[in-house]
Parts: sequence; C-alpha cells; structure tokens
Amino acid sequence: MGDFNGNEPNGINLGGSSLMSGNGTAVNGANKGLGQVIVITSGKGGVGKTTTTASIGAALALKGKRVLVADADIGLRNLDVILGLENRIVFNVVDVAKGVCKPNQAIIKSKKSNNLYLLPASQTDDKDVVSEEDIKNVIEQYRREFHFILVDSPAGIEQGFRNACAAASRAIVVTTPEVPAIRDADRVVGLLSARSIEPELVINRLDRDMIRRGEMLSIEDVQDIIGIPLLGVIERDENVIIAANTGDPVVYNQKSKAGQGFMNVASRLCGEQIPLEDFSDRSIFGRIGRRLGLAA
Amino acid sequence: MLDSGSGDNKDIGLESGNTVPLNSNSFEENLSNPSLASDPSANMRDGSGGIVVARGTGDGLILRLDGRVERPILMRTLLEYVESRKSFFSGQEVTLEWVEARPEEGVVAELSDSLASRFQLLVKASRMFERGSKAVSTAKKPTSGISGSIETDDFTGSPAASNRLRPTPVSPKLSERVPNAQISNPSVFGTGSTSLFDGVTALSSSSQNYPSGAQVNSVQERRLASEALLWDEADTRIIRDTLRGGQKIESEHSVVIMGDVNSGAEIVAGGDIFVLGRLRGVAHAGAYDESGGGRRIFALQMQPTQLRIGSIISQGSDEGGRMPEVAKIEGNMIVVEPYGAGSQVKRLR
Repeated sequence: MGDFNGNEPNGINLGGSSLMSGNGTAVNGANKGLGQVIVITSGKGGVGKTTTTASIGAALALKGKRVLVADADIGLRNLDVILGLENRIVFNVVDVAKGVCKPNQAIIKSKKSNNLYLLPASQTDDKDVVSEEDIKNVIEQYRREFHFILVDSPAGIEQGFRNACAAASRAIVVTTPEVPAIRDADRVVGLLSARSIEPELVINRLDRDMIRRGEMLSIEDVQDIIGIPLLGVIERDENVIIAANTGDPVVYNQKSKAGQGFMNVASRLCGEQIPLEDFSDRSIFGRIGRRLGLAA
Repeated sequence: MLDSGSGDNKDIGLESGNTVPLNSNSFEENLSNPSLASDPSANMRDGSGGIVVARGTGDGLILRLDGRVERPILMRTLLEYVESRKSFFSGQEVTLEWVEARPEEGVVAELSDSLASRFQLLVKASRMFERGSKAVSTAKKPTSGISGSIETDDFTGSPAASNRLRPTPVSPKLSERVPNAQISNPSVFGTGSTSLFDGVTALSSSSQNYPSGAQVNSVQERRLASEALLWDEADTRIIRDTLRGGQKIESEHSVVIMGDVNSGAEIVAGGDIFVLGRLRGVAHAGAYDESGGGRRIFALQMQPTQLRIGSIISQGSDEGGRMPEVAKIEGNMIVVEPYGAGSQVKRLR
C-alpha cells in the first residue's frame, strides 16, 4: 500500500515543510500562508472538469507547489479514479464535514508526487447531505497547508455546484468548442459573477484539423460568445482516455499534447507568461488556400 | 382598488423634472408629423394648453383630459391634437381618462363618435383618473373583438416563421409588483430563472432625474396638466452589462442593454427594446399589449433566437445580423429592417 496519512497528533505530515515555514514561493493574491481555492466547473457534464482538476493539480505539484484536489461531486465521485487512488479511500469530505474524522485523516497522498493530495467525495451520500457552509468550513481547514486547493465541481448549477463554489475565490470554467457546452458555460459564468468570482476559461478538446476545415468552433468563436479571460486551451488527445482508465494523470506523459496544455495552464496559474497555443492554420497550403478563397 | 402605491399610472408617472421637447422623445412622433418636428415650440403644450395628455401604458393608449374644460374647447382641442398625429392614432384604441372633473353629459359619446369617424380611433373605455388606481387590465385579455384583427384562440397558425401566441401571462402580476418593489441589491443574479426586475427598479430609482416612488404622486399631480409626453420613456430601464444565458429582465417600460444579450437570456419589456450590442437571446417588446403597441426591437447585431412583439412571435434566421437593424410589426408579421442614420430613418414610420 502506498503512503497513508496516519493519525498525526501535530496535524498533517506532508513529508516536507509546510507553508508556514516559508518553503516555496508566495501564493499569488492569497493571504500569506493561506492557499488559493479555485473551483473548476462547467455547467455541462462530460467536458473535462475532473480531468482538468487532476491534471492541473498534478502539473502544479510537478512545479513544486503543494496542491490539494478536492472532489465535490458527492455521490458520483470520479477524481479518485482519475488519480488511481480509489482503493485507498477511508474517509471522505462528508466525514470531515460531520466531524467523523480529522481533516488530515481524510486526505490521500498521490502515487507519483509528494506534493499532491486528494480529498475524496462520498459515493454513498448525495449532494444534499452537506451545505455550502459545511463545505466552506471543511476547505478552510486545509488552506494553511496547501498553495492551491482545486475543487472539482459536479455538473449542473444546483446544490452540488453551489457547495463546490462555497470556499472558492477563483474559478476555472471548462468548456468544449461545442454550442451546448458553450451555452451552459455562459450560464455558469453569469452565476459565478453573481458570487463575485470572475472566472477564467479553459477550452478543452480542440481539434486542429476540424478547426482548419471549419467544422469546429475556433478559439475566437468561443471567446466571442463567452468573453472571459482565457487561461488555456487543451488539444483533443487520446492519451486522456488512456490516462483516465489507468489512473495515471496525463501530465506525466511527456508525449501528450493535452498534458502539455495542462502544464501551460499550471504555469499561468503560477504567474508565468506562457503564450497561448496557436490553433490557426500555419501551413503554406492553408495560406494559399485562404487567398484563393478556398480554405475554411 | 385604491392602493397608494400601485398601478401603471403612478409608475409611469410624469415625474421627470424637465420639459422634454417632443423632438427628443419619440422619433415616430416627429416623423409622422414633420411640421411638429421642425417647430421646437410645438411640443405638447401646444395648443392643447395641457388639456390633453397622452400616455402609453401597459394597458394601451390613454388620453387624459381635463374635465373642467368647456365642451366646445375640449372637442376642438382634442380633435386638433389627434389630427396632428393621425397617422399614429389611426386604427388604434384609446381609453379616455378624466381628471379634475367629470365630463359633461354626452361629451364622451360625442368625442367617441368624432374620433371614430374621423380618425378610426376607437374609444374603448372612459373613466375618472384615480391616483393610484390599478390599471384595469382590459387590453391584456384577448377578448371582446373590439379590434377584429386579434384572434384569441388561434393556435393553429401556419408553420411559417411568424406565429401567434398569447403574450406571457406575467403581466397582471407585474403591475402589482412594480411600484412596491423592494430596492434590493441590484446585483441579484442568482440561480434559477433569475429576474433582474428588482435590481432594475433600484437602478432607476436611484437616478437623479426620477424621484423615488414616495414623491411621485405629488409630482404627478402638479404636472398633470402641463406635461404631455406621448411615449413617456422616463422610466426606461438601462442595463449596463451583458446578459448571460439564464438571466431574464422584465419591465413594463422600455429597456436598453448596453452590452450583449447572449443565447439563453431573455428580455420582456412593455416598451421598446434596444440592445446596444449583439442580440442572441429572446426579446419580447410590447409584451403587455396584444397588438404590440407599435413597439420595436433594435439591435446593433440582430441574431436573435426569437423575436416577439405583442402576441406575434418570429424565429430568428441564420443569416443577417451584421449591421444595426430594427424589428417591428407589419401586418401580421415581424419584419426586420436595417437601421441607419440619414435617409434610412424615414422608413421607421
């Protein structure tokens, strides 16, 4: 079995210095010593929230940040599967909320990184079993120990979504370049703005060839409709499916385009200036074609 | 039914402190009578000496008349007033509303006859103006066959783009809520079918030109005989933000959006709708009047999901929406025309 966090009377043993000892860079915009809470949401289901949460989390951990990824999809948990940690779950976020266990007993260290931890959701309860206040209190207990807390929101805009947003100061809205997803994302942006959270956008599953042929909405098309700052674009990549099934986050795969995209997102979250990937057609034929009015 | 705060009259009150010359008010006004437009002194105090005041409400057109005026002067004034705007009034219905005193016997009948025969203007009701009385919602019920063109139960419209449906039944509730709406936090975007209405009220109440509800009645009384604004747009709601999917604005008045209206967002207005941006959602103008009340929908980029004016619905089409356009009712359909400066403007008649 991997590393369990056993009962540590002095709080969480993270196998390294905690935030309070000043290790690592200062967290952007947060109080000194308190991590940023970012909710990852979308409205529409299946666009890649969980993958994005796990991947950004793993990427940030690779960069030396202490990251907690929390699964707020109570009843339909998935984050544990993506990280390959489903066999190690003893306690979950509901247990912490109800006081059944201590906060440090519920988090699970990831397989490949000492910096990445998971707070799993419950699979047997449903979303109404905890309130916004409950989740907020739970998350607050971890802020001293992590640079980033990424909360994986369930699909939808009901209680589960509200719970996931409870402690968040930032948000990432994930969408694919498809009209239904964009409409839902637009709705969610409105709801987040009402909570005084200004979200940033990640566009997932872009296909260069389809965009080139004019069969898929481009980055500009999506931005035209949603109009929030763009955090990153992730190219469609079969490796993501393989990663989900093997429980091995895609950022650990050097050859994965999606993995690189997520690494760039993580870098931007850390304040680095990474230029946006270019999905326009750079080939000679494309340019000639456009001049002749042929290409899309 | 006297209710100190409610009713259309109070809400669309004459609370604006300034005399607004006719020119700046309704462009239709100007266009239908060029002589009025060119003569700045020919505002509503014109000749009618304040005897006639016209109001556009969610209830339809109202002509408010001073009942103390002697019959011959009243007749002449009113007929002149309508004559100078006859292209606007022709074929319309009005309610006569009397202030200060009851009209003499037979005056109403005589007026109705003259208006009907000379201008095809139908007087559908006559009543005393009561401050704060709830507007009797006769116009909202599709009944009575007064105007033969309204078919009430015809849901078997042609499958063509224009269909007839009843306006949303929200209107009677709306006139109850309007004057007593809580001035709540203007950023009331919440979950569910978000209504910005309370926030919208707050925006206008805080505007310096328009006194809060508490003052309106006294201001209104004083102004009754002097101001006359055909389309009283003093209560136009202005929203300086983009509407996102799931957000909805409802107002008895006109609405201006300084931003986009995204797909999935909705505007329901008793007046006109102006989208200073891209209209991709649903816009319903003249929402509390079966006929649409001559209301229009304007957008810089008209790419709507649906347009509704009065009880007529039209689907958006896939093309167009590259330049400013305005939608209005023509006959039985909603037509969309380019809207531009200069020579285009005359087409808005």
